[in-house]
Amino acid sequence: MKYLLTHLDKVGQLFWEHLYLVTISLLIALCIAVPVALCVSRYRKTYTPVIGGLGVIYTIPSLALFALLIPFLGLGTKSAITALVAYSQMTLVRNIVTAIRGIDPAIIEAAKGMGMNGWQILRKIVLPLALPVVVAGVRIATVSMIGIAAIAAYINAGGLGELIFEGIYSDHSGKIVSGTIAVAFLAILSDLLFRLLEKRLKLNV
Amino acid sequence: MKDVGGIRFENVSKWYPGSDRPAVNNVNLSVEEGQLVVLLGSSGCGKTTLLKMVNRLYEQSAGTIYVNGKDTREVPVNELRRQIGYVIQQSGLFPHMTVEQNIAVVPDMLGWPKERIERRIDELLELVHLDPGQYRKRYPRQMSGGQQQRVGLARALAADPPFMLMDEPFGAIDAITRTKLQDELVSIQKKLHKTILFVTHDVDEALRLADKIIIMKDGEVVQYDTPLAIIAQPKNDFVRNLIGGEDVIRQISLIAVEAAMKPAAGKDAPAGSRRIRRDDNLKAALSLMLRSGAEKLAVVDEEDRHVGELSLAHIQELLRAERNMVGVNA
Repeated sequence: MKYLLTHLDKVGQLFWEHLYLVTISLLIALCIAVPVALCVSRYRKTYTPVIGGLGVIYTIPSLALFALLIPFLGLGTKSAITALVAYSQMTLVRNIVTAIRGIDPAIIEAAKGMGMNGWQILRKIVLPLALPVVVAGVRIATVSMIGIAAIAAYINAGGLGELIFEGIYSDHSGKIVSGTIAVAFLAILSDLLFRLLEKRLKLNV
Repeated sequence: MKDVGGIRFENVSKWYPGSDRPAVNNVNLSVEEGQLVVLLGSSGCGKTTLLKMVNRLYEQSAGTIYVNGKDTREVPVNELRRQIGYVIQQSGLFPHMTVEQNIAVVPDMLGWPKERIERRIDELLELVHLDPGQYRKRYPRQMSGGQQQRVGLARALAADPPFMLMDEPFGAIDAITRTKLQDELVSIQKKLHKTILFVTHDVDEALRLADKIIIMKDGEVVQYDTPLAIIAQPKNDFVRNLIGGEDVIRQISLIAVEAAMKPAAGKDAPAGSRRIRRDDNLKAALSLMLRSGAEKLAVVDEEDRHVGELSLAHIQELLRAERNMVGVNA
């Protein structure tokens, strides 16, 4: 605890690095997961192979995945972001598909019958109705990304993991504890914020 | 052509993949402009399939459907749908939109100016007997099933489409509210004269609402006629069983007192006699006779003026005449 208080600026900087890493990864992950999920919910037969494939990625130990990516992308943030994006796909795609499937087909039919085209149905009906469940998925994915990102420090991607690894190598328990507390704080904080968002969105559905 | 403004089915069939018999088999019929026509049949008879082919939610496998004289396949699909109001069971309201937003969906798409949409929302809510001030900002989940279905109806009427498709709209609503909604639909239809196709499996609902009824079985039209003709002259045993046999009580519940009464020009009603409105039905008149023991009823108009009298003999006379008349038509 003493380390954390005396080195607030250093911990703070690593905290922002960590947050940056997770945020960038999350944005990229969503850009991939949304279209994939839309395709999967439209073509039902693709569900099992797609989710199965993403599940396989999900089971690879994070350290191993980082190591596997180094020959292609080198050390540092590129490999880390790629791995984080890959891990989150499973959670995100599955949640978005569930959210879309959870919409009453009668509502979609009513929208069609009123003369909305596919794009209007997606924008005005499907996305707003699916949003609360999607946000729940984003929350879970974010929290797990925050944890995995700590390990990414091992391949020089920065973030709060750096502090933890430093502590391990130099047998400095203050660093380990500070890093851990900061990671946990970030995870709990994002969990809370997404929960609030979820609640607000649900009010309107 | 007489039915140019309505809906016409020509040799329309629909096969679903993997099914060995057609869901709709070679249907030929015309729904005249301004009529409320009910598609009646048990589930799986093809009535909903037939309905959904009109706004192309389903595509027919063979044949042609004309709406307003035009082949539906030659009109851009969303243009077609915007001139056909669509009401489904459970209302299909968008749960994330308020009542006013739900109603505004089609006018918005049609690019109506804002003030016009606002005015239209109030107008429609009043038409379906919901106070705009109280309900405009509500979400569907804050309303009862009956109220939701009223909004569903208002939403379908929003852009004043000449056609309406209604797919068991009152199916999930309790009996008392359902009767009320049926009455209101009839009175709205009297004002608006839409061409309506209405699907139901409820015989009483069909008899209450319909100008004409299409009875379907196994994808085919068994009989297409007025409610009275269907009751008086069911085409076969299936129709007879469906509508409850030779149920004369049901039959007279469809006939207005006016049709059977004997006019009484200018005379006052005998003192102390029981009164019945001329637009009430004969079933109501009969039950009043039975309850009160009166042999004759005084028939009055909307302003309570005496216009005629009605006795059991008058009803019997009418039934005999009705049977002969329908017999000649068939």
